[in-house]
Amino acid sequence: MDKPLLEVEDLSVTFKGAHRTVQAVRGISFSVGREKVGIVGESGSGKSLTGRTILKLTPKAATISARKLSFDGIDLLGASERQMRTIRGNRISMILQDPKFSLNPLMRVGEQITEAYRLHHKVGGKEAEARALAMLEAVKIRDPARVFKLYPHEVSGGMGQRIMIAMMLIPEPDLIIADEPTSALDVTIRQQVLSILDELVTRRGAGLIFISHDLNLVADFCDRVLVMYAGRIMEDIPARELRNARHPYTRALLDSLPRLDRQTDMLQVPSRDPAWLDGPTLQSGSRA
Amino acid sequence: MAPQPIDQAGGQGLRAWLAAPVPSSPFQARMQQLSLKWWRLRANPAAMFGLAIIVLIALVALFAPLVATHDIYAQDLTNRLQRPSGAHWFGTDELGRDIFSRLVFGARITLYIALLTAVIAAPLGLIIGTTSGYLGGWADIVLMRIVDIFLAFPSLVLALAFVAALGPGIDHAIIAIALAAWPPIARLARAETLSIRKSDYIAAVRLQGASPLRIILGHVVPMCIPSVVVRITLNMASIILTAAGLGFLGLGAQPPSPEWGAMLASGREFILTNGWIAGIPGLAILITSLAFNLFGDGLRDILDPRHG
Amino acid sequence: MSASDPAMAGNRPAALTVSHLSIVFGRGASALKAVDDVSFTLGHGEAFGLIGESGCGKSTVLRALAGLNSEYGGTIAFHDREVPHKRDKAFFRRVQMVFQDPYASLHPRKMVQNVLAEPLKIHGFDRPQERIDEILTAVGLGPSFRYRFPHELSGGQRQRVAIARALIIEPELLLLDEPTSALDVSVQAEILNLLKQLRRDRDLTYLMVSHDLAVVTHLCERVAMMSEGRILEEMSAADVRAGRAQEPYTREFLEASVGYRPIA
Repeated sequence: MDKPLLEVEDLSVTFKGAHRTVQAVRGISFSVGREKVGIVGESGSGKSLTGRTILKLTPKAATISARKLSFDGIDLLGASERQMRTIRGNRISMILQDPKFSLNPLMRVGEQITEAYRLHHKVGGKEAEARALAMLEAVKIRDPARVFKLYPHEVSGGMGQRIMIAMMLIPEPDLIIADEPTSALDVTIRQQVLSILDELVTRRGAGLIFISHDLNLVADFCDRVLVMYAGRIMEDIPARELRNARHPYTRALLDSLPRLDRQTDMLQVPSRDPAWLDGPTLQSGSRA
Repeated sequence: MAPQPIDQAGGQGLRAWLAAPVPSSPFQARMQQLSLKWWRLRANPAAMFGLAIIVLIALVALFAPLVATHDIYAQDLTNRLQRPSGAHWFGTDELGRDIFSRLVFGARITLYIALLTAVIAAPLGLIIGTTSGYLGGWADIVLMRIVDIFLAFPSLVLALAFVAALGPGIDHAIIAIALAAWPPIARLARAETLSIRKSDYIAAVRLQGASPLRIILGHVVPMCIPSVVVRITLNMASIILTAAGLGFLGLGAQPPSPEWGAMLASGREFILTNGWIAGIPGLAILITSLAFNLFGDGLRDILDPRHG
Repeated sequence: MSASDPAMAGNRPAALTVSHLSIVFGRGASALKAVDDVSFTLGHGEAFGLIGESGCGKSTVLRALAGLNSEYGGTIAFHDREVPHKRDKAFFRRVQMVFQDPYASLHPRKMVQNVLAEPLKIHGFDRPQERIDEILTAVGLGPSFRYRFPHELSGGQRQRVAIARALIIEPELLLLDEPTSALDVSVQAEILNLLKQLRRDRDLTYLMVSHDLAVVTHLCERVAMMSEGRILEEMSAADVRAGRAQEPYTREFLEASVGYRPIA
């Protein structure tokens, strides 16, 4: 692996409240190359916030601090809002959980994809439209010309998410942040959407940050997994070795899942060690 | 089993009692919730300003005989149309009566009208709105058409019609204003109920075998109360204005009663020469309405779940 | 249909019998058949799971059984006696439900104590205070949670209160509508353990609806796969674990549930 796309060192996100200050992300370091990196954790672990912080889409009350937050040589921490706008969508894009909230309900699907492309590429309408149609085809939509003219409420959840992927990938970003992109989808549709995402990311050699609560899914889908708890990265481990993880928290999460392959009477309920709150990130498995 | 008194915070006094992590009685739990709301209200200066004015007016109304400096009915034609001075803080009116004292007693009438209207209109609107929304079907159609009929008239016109039929007077004015004030509240309560009745917690009580009456009174109404309280507080301003309007038109409080609207009306003739006679009760109406509006806005911020 | 496990419905007296259940939403041309001729039997003390993707009709079946929707065709019998479409109090006393989202199923302005006291009052139970303490202990919360409001509780704690509310009138059949899908995995483990323990301790019958195969087979001995309003097939949990499915759709669902396999 050559130089990583995204380098994060000692990143913290703090929320200043009226009564107390909450540190939601506490000094985490990781890097992402042209690979699929999964971030897993329970709600409140700071996984989604980490994804948003990279795009600097944090709420107003949050303050970001880091020793280093750089993307392809660009210092994101020091970047102005204007610079960030040229990066968002164009070089780093984000796919959210529910396409219902991310697509403009008053605009035809095709127009939205076309617009996403023209925002970052100076091309004519005809060419952008052709691009959008090709992109819809790439996300395995059977009749792209028909879907192009539909409004978001006229498409199903699975198709909506494929349209979102098309929209996010059409500017050919180098890094894609997907925040629970399949949690709102049924299992059989999830399979299709993931394989499309997988194919497009791999073919273009882009980097992917895949944020999820589903350990099994991340273990199968990603190359590398970061396990987060209470704003810290507990373990950084190659995905294929996740099921043999060494960190007690990762182990506890895995043991708490009901399993399809064997019968268990009572599930393990994770106990949490306060020492983890400030412990180091466990680097597991063989490094590439 | 009696709840054992536990003092988790270890401290003494009200503060510790309110901050105890594990409340040991329902009363303590409710007070803790209330104190949290109070803390949030205190952070809103506009609402606190409104509340302060309302409390001030309420105190003045309560202790009117002590606050007033003159007899409000005593006419003194030698001293008519005096400018504000040390003897008459707000001056005197066309019959030589002390405006300050009349204003003070007028606050009683204004608050009396506003509170009584709220007490009549809020429960009426709440019950009709929640029943209509929860039961649906025919009950809903019939009740909402009645509401529509009331809403089709401007509230002042409706109030005028009632007072014209019943005869002028404060009590009739209150009934008339309440009749015009309940339909918007019923509408509001119904709209809230429509979303509440679809919720899982209502489904859960239905599955416990609760009767519709128990569900409406015990589960739907408590959810509607905050928005109704906010609405009625915001409506106070228009209630006060309608009352003043009726007084102004001679259909509300009758002279020599010091109702603010009636005072404003009687000062009308002198508006160019002796502006304060109309101006001072007008200002009182304005400030009171404004106070209720500010306070209502603040209440909405802390009571309405959608704003917090 | 498979009948591999001997300890299944046949040997137990039937607690719940659903025959030819059909539910249609809407009228005329826009009518949608949400549930289409669904039949199954639930033995006393058994745990049975209905599984399927969103919109397959599994929750609609559950709501009709519970009595939240009385517009259905077919019959529902409880202990071999048909229950009226509009349920009576006696039915609710014996059949209770736990909802999917613990954030929506508790009244936001009611203290835990009041939430639990209400069903006792409705059904005229004696010793309400003792029963509240008892059930709070049974669901692992303890009496100190009496005077809490829902917004002061975590998702797992709320779901425990919801379970306590359902169990406080000592029903025999518990309808579970995706009771853990809104929770984190560690909390899910706690709630699943609790449900398992309570079933043992109180001799309960469970009917669970879920889209998560692993969760259903963990709790239930028998599952039925639903799709487009119909039951495709019934399987034992052992069948599911061994991947013994007859229908192609069920097989696809089973495979997709295991994890992600790149489509070559």
